[in-house]
Amino acid sequence: MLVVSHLTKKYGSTLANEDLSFSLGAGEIGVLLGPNGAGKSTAIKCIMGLLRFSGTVEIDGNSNKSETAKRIMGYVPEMPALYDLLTVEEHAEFIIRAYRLDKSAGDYANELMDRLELSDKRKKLGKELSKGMQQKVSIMCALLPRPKMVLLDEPLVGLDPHAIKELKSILMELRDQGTAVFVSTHMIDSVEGLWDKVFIMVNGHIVATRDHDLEALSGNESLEDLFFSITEGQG
Amino acid sequence: MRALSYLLLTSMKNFLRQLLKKPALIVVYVLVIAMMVFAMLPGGNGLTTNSDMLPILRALAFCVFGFIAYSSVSKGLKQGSTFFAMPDVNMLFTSPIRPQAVLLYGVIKQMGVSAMATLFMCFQIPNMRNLLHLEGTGIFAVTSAWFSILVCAQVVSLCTYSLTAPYPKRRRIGNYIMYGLIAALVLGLGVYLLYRGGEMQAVIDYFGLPFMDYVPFVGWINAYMMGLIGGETGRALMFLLLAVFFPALGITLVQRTKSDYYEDVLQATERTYVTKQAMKDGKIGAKNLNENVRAGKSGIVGKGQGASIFFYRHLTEQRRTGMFILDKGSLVVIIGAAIGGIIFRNLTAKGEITPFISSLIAFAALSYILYFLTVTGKFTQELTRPFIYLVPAPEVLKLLYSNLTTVLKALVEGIIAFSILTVLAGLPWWFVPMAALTYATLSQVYISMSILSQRILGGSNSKVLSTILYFVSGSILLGPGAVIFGVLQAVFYFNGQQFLFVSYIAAIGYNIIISGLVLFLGKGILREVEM
Repeated sequence: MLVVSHLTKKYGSTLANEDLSFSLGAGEIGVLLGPNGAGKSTAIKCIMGLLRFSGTVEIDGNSNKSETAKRIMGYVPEMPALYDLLTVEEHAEFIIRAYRLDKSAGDYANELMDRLELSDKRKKLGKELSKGMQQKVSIMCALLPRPKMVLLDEPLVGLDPHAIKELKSILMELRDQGTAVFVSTHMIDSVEGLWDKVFIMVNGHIVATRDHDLEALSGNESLEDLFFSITEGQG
Repeated sequence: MRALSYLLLTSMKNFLRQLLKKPALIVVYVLVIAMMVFAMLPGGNGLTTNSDMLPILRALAFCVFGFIAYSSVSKGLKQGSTFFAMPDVNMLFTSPIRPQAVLLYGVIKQMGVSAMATLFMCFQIPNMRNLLHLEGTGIFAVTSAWFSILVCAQVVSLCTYSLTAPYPKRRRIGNYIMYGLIAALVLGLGVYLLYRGGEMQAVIDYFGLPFMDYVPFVGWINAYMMGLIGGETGRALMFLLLAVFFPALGITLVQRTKSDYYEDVLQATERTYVTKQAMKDGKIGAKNLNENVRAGKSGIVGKGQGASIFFYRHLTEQRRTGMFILDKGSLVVIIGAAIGGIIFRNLTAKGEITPFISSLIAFAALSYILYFLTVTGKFTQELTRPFIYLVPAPEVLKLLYSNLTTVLKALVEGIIAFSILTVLAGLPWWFVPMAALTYATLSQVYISMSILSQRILGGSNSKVLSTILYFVSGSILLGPGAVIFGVLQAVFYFNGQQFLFVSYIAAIGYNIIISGLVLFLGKGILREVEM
């Protein structure tokens, strides 16, 4: 579903990402792990088509900057900025129009609002919501078009325990429905037990990739142990 | 476009709905509109538009438009600017809406912002009438020229960045063209002054030379404005067309050649978002957060310890962000003084104003600007950080030291600005030290207003209440000083004028006493105020 080949991103002479190549299949949850400043958000923005880069990114065989690709991608940004003057339900309406979704999307919006405990906030303006609530609306907007691939940049920051539990369960459901889910985070314990593939990024490079099925962590080694064994001395 | 028009219309509808829920805000808007209507009502002097002030207007407008254009192009060549907000990045840029349609939406939104900024020009209508003798068409010409330069500047900045950012060579060429043009204009002025002699009238006439109309954007929009004022509508429209054509061409170029322009606006949008968030969180002065500041030499300036560390820390920050102790705000004050000096000189030469009135207007105007520079200054920023509450030192000293750079900056700024003004407007020499000291001590009274209102309010977060209290404390603290100053000015003016300086000495004394008193009585602010 997601194929990244030789992605390199430079800001002037600063190399933010160098020669990233990886892939994520339909129905897989991939986790991009790395310390602060590793280049995770830059990579996510490149994949989402917000930055120029060298190399290629394909979503279901389409260039990531094509309209077709955008139609099947969902994005939960690191900074959950909403339109100040649009209510929660108007954000959903806006997404329905922007993605030209059919009538059933309205029901799905209601379902997502219920699950994310946004129903009682549906008439609230974007500027009236707390950071956590804004994050929930961002998640709703990303999932509303029923994307084939969702990218989530630090999605659990600012969420309450109930929302974290609900989001994790939504992500698992998406995986079961065949959606590729790509999560970027530096909070290892938040994704423990959730991932199918993990990509560990340090200084703009992917220094290790693990597949949960094929290369199960040896013995009682946790994701945290793996992360520190790989990154210590590299940061 | 369905989603985009939905976004624009729903936002407008919700803005009006919100307004209906806040009667206090409606009162504020009604007051602002009433003030604007009042300002627009015809004046009684009935002077024609063909006044002698028009060459000054042409020269001033050229400089102001030139400054706006320079700032935008230079921003475009360095960091870019944006029509977009963070939600646009998160939801529009990632949606399947065509980037060209998104860009058009951005331009429309930007025109709305510029239109709002132009509304405030209406407050200048009385000045246009009284100082420039403009009516109807003339006022329309100035306001529409202002709107045009604001829109053009944003569009040009975005296009410049988008078309040059990824190409260092293009950026270099852009810099050569921009600075080459500025150098040519300055050189031209030098040559013209050599030819005409170094008088002020020559400087004003220089901006009226025919070729100045052809300086990109600045000259075009100025020529449009002057053409309309002078009744040459055809010529005015030709220049307006020129000024509209090139930004439109730029946007079309970006649309056609760079559907991949999102990165060009991403950084500027993120920067604006972070700044706005910081300001929402009460970090006054947050607009400087994202400026390119180089750390340079490391280490705190001087040997400050305890409470005095705040003063030395401010000096260290000033070393990185400012020019010695001055900053961009000081430049506004100094340029304002220079422009005022030219105008006063002209008006004095015609006998329309006396040096005494010039000195009063100049002092009042610069004190007004000082207020805004002070409330966004170091002290107010200091209260939003934890350190001033935590450092174990006497509270009076902490307040004193965290104010010291503000007063020093105001003093240096005042000396420079009032010196320029005195030379240009032909004011008496004593005006420089007297006005500069009054100006510097006045900065402390402004700070006292802040201390007093916060001391009374304590931890309350009500913005309405704090604004009202701020103005009340302002009237209490500034009122008596202003009355003393005014009465003494009147007394000495009608008694030979040679002792006018005494009124400034009285004002300085009053400022020192009242701000010292508030500082002493309000020292508990650091225990009562919540961050």
